[in-house]
Amino acid sequence: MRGTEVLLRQHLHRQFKTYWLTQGRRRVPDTGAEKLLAAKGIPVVDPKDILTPPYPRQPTLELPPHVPNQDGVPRNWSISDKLVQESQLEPCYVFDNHFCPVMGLPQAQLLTNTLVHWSLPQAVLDHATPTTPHEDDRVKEAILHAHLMDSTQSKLPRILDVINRPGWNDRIPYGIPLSRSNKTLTYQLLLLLDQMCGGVTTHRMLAENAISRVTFRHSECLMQFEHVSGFVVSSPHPLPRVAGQEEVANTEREPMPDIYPVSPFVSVLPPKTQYNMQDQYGVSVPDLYPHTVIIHNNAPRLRCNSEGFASMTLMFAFSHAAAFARMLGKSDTELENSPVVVQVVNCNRQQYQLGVLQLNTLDLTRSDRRNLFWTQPWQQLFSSCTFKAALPVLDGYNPEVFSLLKGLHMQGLAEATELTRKEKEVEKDGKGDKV
Amino acid sequence: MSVYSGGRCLQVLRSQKCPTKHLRQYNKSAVGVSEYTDTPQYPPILDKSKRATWQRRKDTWHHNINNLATVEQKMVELNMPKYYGYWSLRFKDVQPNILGDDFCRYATRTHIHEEEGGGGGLPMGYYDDVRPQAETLVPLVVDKVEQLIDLNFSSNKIHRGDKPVRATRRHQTENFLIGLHRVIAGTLGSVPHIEDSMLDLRPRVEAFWFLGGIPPDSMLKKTKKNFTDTKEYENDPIDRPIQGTSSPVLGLRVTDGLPEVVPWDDPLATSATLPESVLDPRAYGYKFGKKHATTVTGFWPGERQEHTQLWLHNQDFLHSYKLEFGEEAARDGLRQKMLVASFTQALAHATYLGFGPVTELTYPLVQQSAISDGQHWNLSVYQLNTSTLHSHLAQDNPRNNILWLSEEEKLFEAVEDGGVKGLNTSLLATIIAMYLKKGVPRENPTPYLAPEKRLHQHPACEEYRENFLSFFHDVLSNRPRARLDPEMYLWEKIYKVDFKTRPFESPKRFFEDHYNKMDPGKRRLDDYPLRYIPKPIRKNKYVKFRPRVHSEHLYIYDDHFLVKRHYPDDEKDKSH
Repeated sequence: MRGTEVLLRQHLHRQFKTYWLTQGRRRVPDTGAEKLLAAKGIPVVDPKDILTPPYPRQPTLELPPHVPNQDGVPRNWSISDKLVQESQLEPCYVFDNHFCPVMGLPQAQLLTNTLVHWSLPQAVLDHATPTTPHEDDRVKEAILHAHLMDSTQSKLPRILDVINRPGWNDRIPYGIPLSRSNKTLTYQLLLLLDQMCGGVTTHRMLAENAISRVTFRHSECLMQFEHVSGFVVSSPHPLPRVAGQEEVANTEREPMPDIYPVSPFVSVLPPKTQYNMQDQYGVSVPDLYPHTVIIHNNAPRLRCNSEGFASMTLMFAFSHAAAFARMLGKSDTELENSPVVVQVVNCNRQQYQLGVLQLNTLDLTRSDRRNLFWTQPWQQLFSSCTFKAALPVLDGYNPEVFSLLKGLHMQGLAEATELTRKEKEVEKDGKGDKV
Repeated sequence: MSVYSGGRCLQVLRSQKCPTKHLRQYNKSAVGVSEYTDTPQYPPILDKSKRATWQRRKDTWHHNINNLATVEQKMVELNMPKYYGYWSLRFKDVQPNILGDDFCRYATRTHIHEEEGGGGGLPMGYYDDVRPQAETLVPLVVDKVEQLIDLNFSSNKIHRGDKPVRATRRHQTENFLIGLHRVIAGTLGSVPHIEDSMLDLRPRVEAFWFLGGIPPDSMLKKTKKNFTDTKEYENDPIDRPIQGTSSPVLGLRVTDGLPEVVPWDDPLATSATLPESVLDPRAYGYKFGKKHATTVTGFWPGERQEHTQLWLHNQDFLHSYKLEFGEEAARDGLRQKMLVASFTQALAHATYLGFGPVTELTYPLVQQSAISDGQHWNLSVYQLNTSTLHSHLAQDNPRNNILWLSEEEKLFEAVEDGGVKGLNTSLLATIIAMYLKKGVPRENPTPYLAPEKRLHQHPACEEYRENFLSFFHDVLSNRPRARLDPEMYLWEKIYKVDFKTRPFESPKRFFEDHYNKMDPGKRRLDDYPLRYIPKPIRKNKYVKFRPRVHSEHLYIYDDHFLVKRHYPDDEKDKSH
């Protein structure tokens, strides 16, 4: 609040109104100039004879056609395109990063035609070895740095305690924004995981803030997933399928949740009439298969519960898998032979949820084959990370989360080393010199 | 919050009337001190001239800062003279000035060692011990680097939404640098100092220092000329506070600092060519602004990895610099950026080790940096030999800092659909060598910090330590002030100061002569009205006000606020 005094305050609008009223009533008096000038022989002309009368404004000109941008990047949005598209586009349900389904995981399952298994695949659990004390120390250091010891000071969202202190405004908090701490921690954990694998996973590529978009027709409605991920880890080798063909065929018999009379499209927001129609996968390189999608949920106060969080995890995994399949132009029969497998990590400060999705079909109304999602209930990586008497303290560290991350990170390795070995053999035989 | 508790701090009180009164009361030693010595111990004869007195005052203040135990306390004491912040130079690395080359070298006391005619400017022989190993590791990363380049720099492979060209390029470069670090760090995962390292992503790096030898501006000269005491010192050079900023994309931190490139007695470190004098910084196009002295280096004091192995920078700022000043100015802009960024980084690290703008180094600090846009790379090595540049030390310093800047090299010639063309493996080997260069543990690395080093080990009570740390974070947070500092409006300057034409106006403003006249520039950080403690929540009924912040004891009580001079009893008044 300013402590300086206000010296002279006038209401400009009232002043203007007053002037407009009074000055508008003014009439030009006769000063006698005309007579005087005429007497002196100076010609006096009526201004109306010289000046043109006020003419009405011309109707708005039609805008010229849209010129593409200088960088050559095609854009879907332009003024004229928008106006044309608004009338032509069908209303579409756009599910973005912030969408948390009202009906929870069942709604997400119905939207994505997925069955959920509440445990991670055996392959992941086998590789989820317990953490060593050295690994624990490194992870704790990473958490402390990302959430506490980072010296960035940005304005944070105000969190009001309406119940205990109603009407009280706390001092504006400054500190590390959640988007930043999530990113720092994730990157440091990825570096640690790479080190633990001995550098074998460095052939995987990292993409920051990639946007994936995929549109579907789902029982008379048009829907679109548009998700921005924190990191997408892509691998030159696809992940091996988790569920065999028999298990996929058995999905027909397993019941899907029923949320009747609520529609799967129930949402706070109505369907949009302006949306981007272009499907894209964040890393549009056909040779790079999605390995892990890391979602940064940056809501300072998470408004959803465990089930809502799980449903967001599922939708993210599905959107990336489906966008990738669309990019490759895979049909359902191709997916039957080689389904797209995507791993996902959803994090919001302490809460971590890991999952594996196997995309078996892109037809979301199909009942004889469904997609499969393996996940576990969310877990806390730590409970609190604060300064206590100027000492940085990390409470409630849970080593299980990092061991599960290890399990996820090790997937696709054996096959990769096998393939690389075979590639090298082939090259050796073929060319002789090059390795 | 409860405000008073036990601890040695309560015994030290600030008495404005007699500074040593509390010492007389509490400094009772068991053994009697003899008043006689064998030889007379005369006190030193002090030079009573104004110049010498001012210098002594400065030296005492510097001495006090040197003796403080932790980095946080030193930073708070550095900020203590200015409640509203220092009127400091905004010395940003991404805002070079076309005329600023000389000033940058003077302000950082750096000699730029650029070898002309090929061979690169990096120090000869510094990487000889790691170069062979780096060259053997290059084949392991070549494929992955090519894939990274292909992913990030051939047309639009990663979709991030419709953004302007410059933003897209910046995202591409940053993604490439992040990916490159991951590839190299993963391949070198078995190297001990890389395995133990911590990474800072887009850290906030700022450093504060005083620069001496700057000619005073006309306003300052006028003020000095108008008083008999200061008339003869009208043209004396002054100190200007400088706030430097560095904005890297990545900083790789390790536990041990890099070894020195040249020893301290080398002619390059003692008598290199430097600009002898400068004009006022505003003459070169720089701007001033009010800000607290901020020195941060991507993390708060207390992390294990205190030194940086390598900083990676983005060349994004060069785009608008070249548009304004042309392609020929690009090299100059790059040089200024690396100079300012390297010095800021090095000084920030030095401050965290207990040295700083008023505390001289006892060993050199070396920083490695690289700036690139993915394709064009410039590597640099910086050796910080001196951190104190105030007063006469800006021109009369026995040592100077050195920057080695390499020639611009391309990492790849072009990237097409077929792949990457012309990958420069030699440059890749140099970058890997920079990663491999091992740090050396120092004997007595922090001579000006207490052996325990950390604020949480200060003897003051828990509450004081917590509050002091929050205070420290607040001061260094760049947050805007809620209540603006007092300002003399232009009409007041005209009608009340320059031409006094309002005789019957009561003198209530801060600059007018009355009992409460204050100079905002002289207000100290601990000069604030203390918070009152209402009677129902007091622990000790005679302690009416909260304690005041203090750089040595964290918080102390004001003597004259205590009722009936009742000093709080440590044992009885401990908070829960």
